[in-house]
Amino acid sequence: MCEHPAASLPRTAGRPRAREANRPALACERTILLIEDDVEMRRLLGRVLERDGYRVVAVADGDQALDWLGLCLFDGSLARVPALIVSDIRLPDFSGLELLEGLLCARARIPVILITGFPSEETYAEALELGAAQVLAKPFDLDALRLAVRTALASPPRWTKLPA
Amino acid sequence: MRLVRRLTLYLLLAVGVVFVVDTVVSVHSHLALFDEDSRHDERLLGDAVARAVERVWAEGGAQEAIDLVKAMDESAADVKVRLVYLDAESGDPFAPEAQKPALESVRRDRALTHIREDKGDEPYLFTYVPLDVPTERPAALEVTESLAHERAYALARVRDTLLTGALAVLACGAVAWVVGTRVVGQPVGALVEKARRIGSGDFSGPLSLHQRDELSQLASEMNSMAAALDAAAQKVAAESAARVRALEQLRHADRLTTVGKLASGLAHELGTPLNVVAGRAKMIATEELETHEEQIESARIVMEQAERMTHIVRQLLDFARRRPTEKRSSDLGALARQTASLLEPLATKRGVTLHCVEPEVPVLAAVDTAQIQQALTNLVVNAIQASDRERSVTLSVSTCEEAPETPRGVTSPGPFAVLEVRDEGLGIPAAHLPEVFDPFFTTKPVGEGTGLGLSVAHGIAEEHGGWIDVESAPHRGSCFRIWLPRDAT
Repeated sequence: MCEHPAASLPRTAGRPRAREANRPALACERTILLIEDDVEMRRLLGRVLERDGYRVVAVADGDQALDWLGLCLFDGSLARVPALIVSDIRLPDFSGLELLEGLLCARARIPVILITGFPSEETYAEALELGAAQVLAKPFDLDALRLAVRTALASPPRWTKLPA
Repeated sequence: MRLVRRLTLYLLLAVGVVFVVDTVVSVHSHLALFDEDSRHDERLLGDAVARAVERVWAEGGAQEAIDLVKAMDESAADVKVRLVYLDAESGDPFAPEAQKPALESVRRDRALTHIREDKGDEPYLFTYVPLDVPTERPAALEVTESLAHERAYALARVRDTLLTGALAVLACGAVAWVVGTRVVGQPVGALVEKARRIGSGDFSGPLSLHQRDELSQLASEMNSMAAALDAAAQKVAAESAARVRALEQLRHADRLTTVGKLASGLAHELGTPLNVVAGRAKMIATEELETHEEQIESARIVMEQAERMTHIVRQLLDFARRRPTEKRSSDLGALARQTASLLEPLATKRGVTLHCVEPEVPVLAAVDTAQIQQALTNLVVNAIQASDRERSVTLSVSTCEEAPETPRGVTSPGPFAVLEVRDEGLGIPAAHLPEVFDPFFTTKPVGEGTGLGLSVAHGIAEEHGGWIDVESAPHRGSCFRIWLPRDAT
């Protein structure tokens, strides 16, 4: 594998992101946005979360995630707000940390659980600083994910105030 | 054997010359003795007869004297005695047999005279004794002796001497040949053979000559020379083997260093499949799966992911494994692809994009794939480490019919294969460029770089009959190229 097919795509290509401003976002309760590029991993995590009774939207990269979220370029507001985002840090087009930054900018206080294959002090520190609910290092136990999801959803929601 | 032949020939020549000289001297002296003897006899005879003839002439007249001479001539066996008149013309019965000019001295000095003269084919000794007789004419007594027996003696002497000489030459020749062959020919032959063996690198079997002379001295010197050369050759072989071993260990150490660098990248690669395997296995174990199909599906996924992990681990183990050197014709494009695949995780971890540009047709070269992969890996790891995030490293394989300039020591005229590693990283300051291939040269902090990578890559390129070069500009990136002689297509 020399080049990832997504690596050469322009960041904003074909992204129907504009929408009418100031429309209230659709809060999708018990919906988890799962961002993972490995197909088997995505299927596994999706299945586990679905079994726990969540609605799972699984996407392969950041581009598809932003599509689903419907980020408005004008005011940074979102069309859809999931209850939780579970994302791999290393994605073909951008990193989970950049996603966190983007959400921070959008003032969308969605709890985010990050998954990393390169656990390092810096990664943890940066992720937690950007407001990640939890960072899981691969390989992790599926029960640990379940616990993290429950904790993140049950913790005092920092995101109750949606941007106007 | 040519030496023996020549020695024998010279010896025979010397013996021959000695015999010839001996013959000449001996014949000459014998003839002189002979001559002296004849003269002495004839003088005695001539004097005695002359005195008798003078007396008879004085007492009984000329006729009586002539008769006496005739009677004496008849009684003498070997010599002829005549009464002659020195002034008589030839044809006269009293004419002397010797030539006129020689007789003048007899007439003038009136003394006994010997004249040696040839008559026909035979040599003669004429002895004239002047007679003091009462007559007007110059009378003399002529004693003639043939010297034919003297010549026959000389011839016989020469023949005998030549026969003895020939026998001596034959005997000397045989002795010289036998002794020469044994004392000179065979030892020299053995020495030549020994020298030839030493020349071809065989120092075994010391030479022993059963004689005490210069040749055996030479043989013992040659033996000690062979022993010294043998010791030196063994020392060189041992040193070279030690050097090869050290180089091999150095390369292995370098490979393990690289394995360490690759491991963290590969660990991430393993994380995902391991997660999937553990998750699916747990699902099967806890009977979370309702249908049999779901269980089979999960088991299949576990299998696939296990294979994926095996592939990742095998790549690393293949790279780390110590293998004997083996060169065979290989596709460098495929090799570059494998290397890129091995390094992809490391590049991804550091946020660097790794491109691999392969030619459309296979580029074949006789290489040890493990070594070339090591060299290439070292270059790519360096490039990745020198690059900032979001930069790219390009690994490309191309061909070149003729190199722009081949460094000293490279004998291959081409065509070449070029493995190029280009980065957009920090670049190398011009001051460091001449040193980058030196062992242990590194600008990385202590503990991060061994300074072996480029020197190992350099050594590997040279071992393959190629070389490695570098172009670099600070802050614009570096480009390393490995040139290898490739198979003609």
